[in-house]
Amino acid sequence: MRTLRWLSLSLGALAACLVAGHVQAASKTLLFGVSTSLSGAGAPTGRGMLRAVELAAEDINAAGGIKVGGDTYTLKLIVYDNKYDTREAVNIANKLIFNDRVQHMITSGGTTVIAVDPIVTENRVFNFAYAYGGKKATNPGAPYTFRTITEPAQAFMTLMPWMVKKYGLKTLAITSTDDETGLIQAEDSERTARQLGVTISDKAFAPRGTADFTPMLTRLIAKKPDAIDFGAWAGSDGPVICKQAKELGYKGLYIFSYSQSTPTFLKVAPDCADGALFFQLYASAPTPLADRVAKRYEEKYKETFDPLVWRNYDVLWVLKRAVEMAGTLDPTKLKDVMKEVHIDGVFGRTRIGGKSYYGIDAQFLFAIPVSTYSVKDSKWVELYRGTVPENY
Amino acid sequence: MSRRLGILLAAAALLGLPAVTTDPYWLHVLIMSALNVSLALSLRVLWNVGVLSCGHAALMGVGAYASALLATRAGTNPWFGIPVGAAAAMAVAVGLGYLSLRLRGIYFVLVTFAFNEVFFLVMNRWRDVTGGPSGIIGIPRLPGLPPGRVPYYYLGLALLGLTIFVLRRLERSHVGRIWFAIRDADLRAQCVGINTVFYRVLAFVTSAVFAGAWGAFYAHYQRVVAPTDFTIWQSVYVQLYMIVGGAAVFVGPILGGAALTIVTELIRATGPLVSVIYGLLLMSVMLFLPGGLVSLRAGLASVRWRPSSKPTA
Amino acid sequence: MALYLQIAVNGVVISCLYVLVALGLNLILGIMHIVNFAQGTMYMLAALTLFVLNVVVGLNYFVAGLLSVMVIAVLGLVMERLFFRRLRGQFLPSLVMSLGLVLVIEGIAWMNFGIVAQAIPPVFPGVVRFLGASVSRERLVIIAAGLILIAGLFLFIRSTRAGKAIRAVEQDPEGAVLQGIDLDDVTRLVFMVSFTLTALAAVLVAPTLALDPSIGETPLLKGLVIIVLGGMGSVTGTLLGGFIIGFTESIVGTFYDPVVASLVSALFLMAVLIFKPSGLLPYRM
Repeated sequence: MRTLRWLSLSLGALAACLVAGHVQAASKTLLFGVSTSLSGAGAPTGRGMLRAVELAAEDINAAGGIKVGGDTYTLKLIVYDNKYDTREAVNIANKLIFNDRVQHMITSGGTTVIAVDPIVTENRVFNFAYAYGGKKATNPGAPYTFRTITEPAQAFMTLMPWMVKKYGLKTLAITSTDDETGLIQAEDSERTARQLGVTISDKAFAPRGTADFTPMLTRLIAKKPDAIDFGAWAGSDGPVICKQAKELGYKGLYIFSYSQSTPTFLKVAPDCADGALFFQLYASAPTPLADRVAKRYEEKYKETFDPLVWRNYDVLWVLKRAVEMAGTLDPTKLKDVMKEVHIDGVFGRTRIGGKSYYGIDAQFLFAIPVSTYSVKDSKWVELYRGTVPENY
Repeated sequence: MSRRLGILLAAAALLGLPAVTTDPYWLHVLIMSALNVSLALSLRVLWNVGVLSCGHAALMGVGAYASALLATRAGTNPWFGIPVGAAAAMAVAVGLGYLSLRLRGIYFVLVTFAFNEVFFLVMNRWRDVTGGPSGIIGIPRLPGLPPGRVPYYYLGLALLGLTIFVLRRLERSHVGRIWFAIRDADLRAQCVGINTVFYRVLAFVTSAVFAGAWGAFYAHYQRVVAPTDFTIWQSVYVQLYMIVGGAAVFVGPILGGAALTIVTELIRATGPLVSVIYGLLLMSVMLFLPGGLVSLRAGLASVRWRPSSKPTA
Repeated sequence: MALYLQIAVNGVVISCLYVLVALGLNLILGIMHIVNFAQGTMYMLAALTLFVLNVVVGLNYFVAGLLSVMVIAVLGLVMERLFFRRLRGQFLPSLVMSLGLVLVIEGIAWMNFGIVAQAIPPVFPGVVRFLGASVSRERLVIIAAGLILIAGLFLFIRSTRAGKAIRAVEQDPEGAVLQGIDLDDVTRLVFMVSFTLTALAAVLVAPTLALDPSIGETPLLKGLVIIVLGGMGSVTGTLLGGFIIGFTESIVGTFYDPVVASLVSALFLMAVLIFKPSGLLPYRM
């Protein structure tokens, strides 16, 4: 009796192995590297990105994976914590490329992308960059790096003309963080504003982690500008600096030109959001796909959906389309195909461009909205949406 | 005799490694280990005179930026950058040293702490000169080196060998003995006519020379330097390599630097747990081996459990 | 005029916050001669505990605050017993130990924290305006409470037996033991008081902040700068150092920007260390 049971169990196990083996033989794995900050101050951004990529990978695998020349690839993520540190990011890039042998990866963190550029270019590895970096990170010398988020240059170019006209802005004060992201944000804001005839009344920078912005704000407010652009202050800092500005009595226009984490903002300073301008913020899901993603997120992570997560959902879909178009996984061929790629992503049509500004088509482009919050109605209201010109 | 053999075997293994594996990742890890070991060894020179520096990363940064700037702005030959980096760090050490080494050791720690902070802030802010937060990019490789990582590996080994050789000889020399004398009995040393301030500054300068030279090496290896590479936390990590390895003996920093660098890579696959595991490692070593990893050899029997209520000043 | 008044008010608020944390650091550094990097982490834990008790469990702010402080104080005792007791007097190992603690605690905190920062509902909402300057009621409370706490600590150290025991140990541990003072008791007391101060600072400030595991880093760094400036082991020194740094940040931060303010603070620190290394008001508890 026992022998029979053992026998049937073993046969069953053998059968299972055979089946599994057969399935494995038919499908291959596409390893996708993720270098992001999972701890430390950059963690909310980094983990948000990871979640977006996780959801996308699951969805792609569920939809049949990536088909290339008869083979079907299942996406598998290899995730390392770069702690927003350049040296860690370089170590991780080395590990991903030489040890784990990935050919495609995503990196987050301002300076980290710039530091990793030489390695990915030299070794011809596809690197999606979830970071600013301007022309230092995106240029013809780094043909394998593609930025997944809208840079301030595009946001300001699209939204500022509307804003200046609608609110009749004549003077603008700018504050931002003193890191690469913050400086780029401030520079692009200033340049675009000046081009539109707006005077910059004052500028102030501070390191992330500052809890008390009152000295800086006191000076900016003293000159009574029509609007204050709060630069790259985001995450935990955005609502706090808004609150402190309100406490100091600033009555002008509050501009948040860097994507804010709306759940955080409403938790920390709901009154402050009232009437303020939020760039790159959709009042509600811009597409049915976006809505589905938001619901999936809440189901899986049991947390209020943060619209910032949408930004990186399209990345793997773009990769999938590029691979399908090029008919290969080889980064050297993929990079040439990227400028032709466009998909219907979370924000509607997503394409790759940017040659007129960066010298190379390596920037994800999609519609850029600006919204505000109405405390009275307890909801977000979209005010305007624009895109960069087709030949950008 | 067996120690000599051990060293020879280790050296042979390291030298022969690229024949066995050319995995660039592990070569990179070993090069970083060589860097960390050398930084920890040079920090120990200061510990030998009884002071701790909290600004070693900044000294490395001085060397790195000096060489990087010369190579990218003035087109100087990068090979020249290494001695220049060392010299720049040396100059800083001389200035800072004479200002602050006249006092008790604890104040020196704080001056180096403040200096590191100043260095970071200036490098971060002075965008026109230093490239600001994103630093200097496009730093050229050392010319004449064959392409690939293996040449850097051998260069790193050579530099490491030089570092070990020079520092060991110094420690065993007349100068080294004076350093220990100053550490153990400063007043007495002065009574014998030794200019303790001079020798302390000498120690600082020696440590700076190596920090600066390795900084330049780092710049031409990574090809990118940014202020975040040289923060106070980076200085603290160098202290960690020295303390966890064992600050009391020469081989301590070698053990500590290599072990911590390699362990970090080994645990990388645990994702967000890396910090936690690393922290637990630090705590365990300090709880059971406060003298550092080197005290493993001294025997586990020497672990003492201090009973309470005994005066321990 | 209004501008200068505002700068002054800002300066006082910033100073009070920094001083509270610095005092906690100072006690441990002055008595135990060890640097406790975990002080910033305790600040963060106090704030997060307050959040859990106040928002998740639903307790009233004052009750939640009191409980949070107690939790952190107990945590201090546990840490002292488990980790720091063995390393008493050993500077380097305790440095590494406290660093290890920071990595472990913050690492675990990040693993369990979502990606959205949390916040505590305001306890004293509203803004007070006078002579053109404005300050939120919350911050006025912080100033008042902060000053009371500092005065309290001062009295404690000066006048109570326990406080005198602490001073005795700080000046001469062997002599103190000869007088019959139990070193272990004093060490425990110091840890408890230090962590209590830090936790109180966190609980006071929490309603004005967005909370996540990284909020302890800046108070730690500023705290270190302040106690060095004022003189290690000296309460009055910490007070003076704290106000100097606070006002520097306010004044320079307003007329230039906070980065320049940090630079000025760091340079000032270097100058003090080089020319008056024992600090501005050394050894006066």
